[in-house]
Amino acid sequence: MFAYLLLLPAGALILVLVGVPFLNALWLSFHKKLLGAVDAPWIGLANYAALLGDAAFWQAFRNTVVFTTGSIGSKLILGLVIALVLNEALPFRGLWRSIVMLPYAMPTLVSVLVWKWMYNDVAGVLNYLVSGAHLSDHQILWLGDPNIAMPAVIAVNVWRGFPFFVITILAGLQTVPQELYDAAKVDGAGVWQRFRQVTWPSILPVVAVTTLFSAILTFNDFSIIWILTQCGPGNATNVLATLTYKIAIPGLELGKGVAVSVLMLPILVLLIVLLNRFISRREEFA
Amino acid sequence: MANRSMLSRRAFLATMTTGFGIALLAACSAPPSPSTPGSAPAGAAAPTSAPAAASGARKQVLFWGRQQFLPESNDYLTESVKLAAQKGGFDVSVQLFTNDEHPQKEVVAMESGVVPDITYTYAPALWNQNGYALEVQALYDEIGKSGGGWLDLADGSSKTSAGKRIAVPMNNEPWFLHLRKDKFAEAGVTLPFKTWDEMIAGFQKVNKPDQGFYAFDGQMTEADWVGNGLPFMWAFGGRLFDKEGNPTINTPQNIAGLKAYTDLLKNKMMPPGVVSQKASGNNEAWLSGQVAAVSNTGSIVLAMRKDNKELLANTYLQAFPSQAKPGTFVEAAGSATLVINQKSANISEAMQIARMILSPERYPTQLEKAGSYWFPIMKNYLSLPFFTQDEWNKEVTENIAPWTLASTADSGLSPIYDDMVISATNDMLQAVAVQGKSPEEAIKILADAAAAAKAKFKL
Repeated sequence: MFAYLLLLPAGALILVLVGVPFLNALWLSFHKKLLGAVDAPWIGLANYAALLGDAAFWQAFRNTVVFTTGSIGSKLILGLVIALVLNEALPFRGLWRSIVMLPYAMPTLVSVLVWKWMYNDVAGVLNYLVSGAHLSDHQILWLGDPNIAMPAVIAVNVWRGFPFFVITILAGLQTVPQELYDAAKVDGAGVWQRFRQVTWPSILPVVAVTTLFSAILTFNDFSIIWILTQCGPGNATNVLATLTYKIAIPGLELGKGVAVSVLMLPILVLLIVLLNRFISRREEFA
Repeated sequence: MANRSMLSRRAFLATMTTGFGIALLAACSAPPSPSTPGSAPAGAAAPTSAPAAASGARKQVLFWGRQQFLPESNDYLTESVKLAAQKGGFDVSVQLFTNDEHPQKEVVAMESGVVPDITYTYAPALWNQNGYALEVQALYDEIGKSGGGWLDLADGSSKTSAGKRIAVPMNNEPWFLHLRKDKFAEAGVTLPFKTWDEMIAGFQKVNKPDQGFYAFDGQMTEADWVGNGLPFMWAFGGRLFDKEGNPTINTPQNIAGLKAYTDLLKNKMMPPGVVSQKASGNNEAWLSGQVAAVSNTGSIVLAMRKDNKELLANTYLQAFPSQAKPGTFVEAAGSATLVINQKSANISEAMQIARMILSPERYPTQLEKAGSYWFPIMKNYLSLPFFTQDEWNKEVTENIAPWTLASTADSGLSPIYDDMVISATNDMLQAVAVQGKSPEEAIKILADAAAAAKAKFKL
């Protein structure tokens, strides 16, 4: 009884700060609610129907999938490789580990604005380097070409997020008993076989949790895209998070904007369920 | 163990669910009415601003505004507001927000119902749409009289399509074409351009894309559309609305203007980066010497006065020549306005503030403090030495300002227009510049957005 009483304040807090706003938002999505307007007539599923019939929504959905999978895949590969390197006995290993963490430690706004300057077609350092190396005879529109803009924003997301993968995978690597490697060596396993048979199965739960956790954050990411491209060019980088904002705040259609967020929920719920499952399995294993 | 059995998990969850249900019902219940029937004047609800002071106490007035480029201009404006409070015997709080922050603050204030008593805004139609803008015709007339009468621009910047005067204009913020004297002279082109064809021919002569130098920089986004894409449509005789405020977007004239504008990019007379440029993009292109012409408000002249007098001396200012009516010119202008909250308990005090800011004693200095960004909106101030002796101000005042039209000049203030320029202009330009659609196809995006906005706001 006492234990439940102790849980009550936290439970109440979650209800008030998460449950009520969530249900209020859900309720709002069934209304024609314009920002600032007092009247908000009930329109049922009209906001959802309008969105599902809107090509811009589906483009944002595709962009979200590309942005999330591209970012997560790259962060995973980069994070894994760097973690494996940093797990070895390198000179100045502590220093390297600190340096790798820098992108993650910098404020998002500051680092993304620096990237924006680097991507600038006229004065950016990237075009300066490309032109200096004679790789292109014209300015590359890093954020202005619809075919390049998405890879460009993914690159910034990867740069910001890979240290999280490095640090968690590195922590996982340090829990793998040395005896397993010794035994594998005795059995004649090479480097690749040791990675495949010992390292990967040992760190898989950590990798899975990290990937899912990062996927949830990347799926919802707003700031990087908004600061870099504001969804352009030609909506080439418009994702569901930015679409929500564009509809709800500048477009004043609060109910419709909230409906976009609600439509994002099934995927987020799926990711959260998977994440919880992995965490539960790990706890059982432990 | 005995304690554990006193409250089962099921009972705990049931308790939590009940609590949650109660909280939900509370959250979803109708908010209390903001007014008591019969207690407020016609057309107005109960005060939504700071609570009215108790009898005998000084009133508290809240003034909101948007920060201008020069700190001294903000300081002077604040001083005027405080002076009004001092003379009127009330207290005032002045809050000025950045360009980016201000529009968000405004909509959030309206959503929450806690709004300032008086605000200096570029979105009076939005305040009116949400029932906050006070009818200020008498105040408008009174202030206009003190300044020798309003210029034509004032009317379109402060009146709705239904004829309601909802704002008092503060200034004329004209856009103008900036031209590089040296580059055009090198190419054998005489300034100013008197006709549209002369201008395009001049652009072609000065354009050197292979050397990274372009004739003109105009954004292919929503940024600065008012001073770039819109005057191109006007130059071809296009208009966005008819006199009744109905959108008239998909017309041959507007399509021709859109085509002329986007053709500059297609024909490599604009830098390719314009497809992702934001508001400061063409300022940077001009100040870095990358282009021979840009259309902008006084912000570039302000920057050159401060940091690059040499480039300023090399700059010629003019309006766009009209293609449809040779010998005439077109130019857009914006106008900051004062909107008084009709639900405020401090309407009289808010009016005193408006009078003070625009008074003959304060307004001329306010115009000077704003540099070349604010131009007079009342006739008496056109002859101020600041606007007649400085080479660039004189050019703007005498040769550009007379051709200016408010972007909503045809329809009056309209939430349809405000809604369109948020992103539909961007989508239209990007459809041509990025997705390769024809101007005929792209114009439909803007026309559809206008129709959707009309339905959205039930107009």
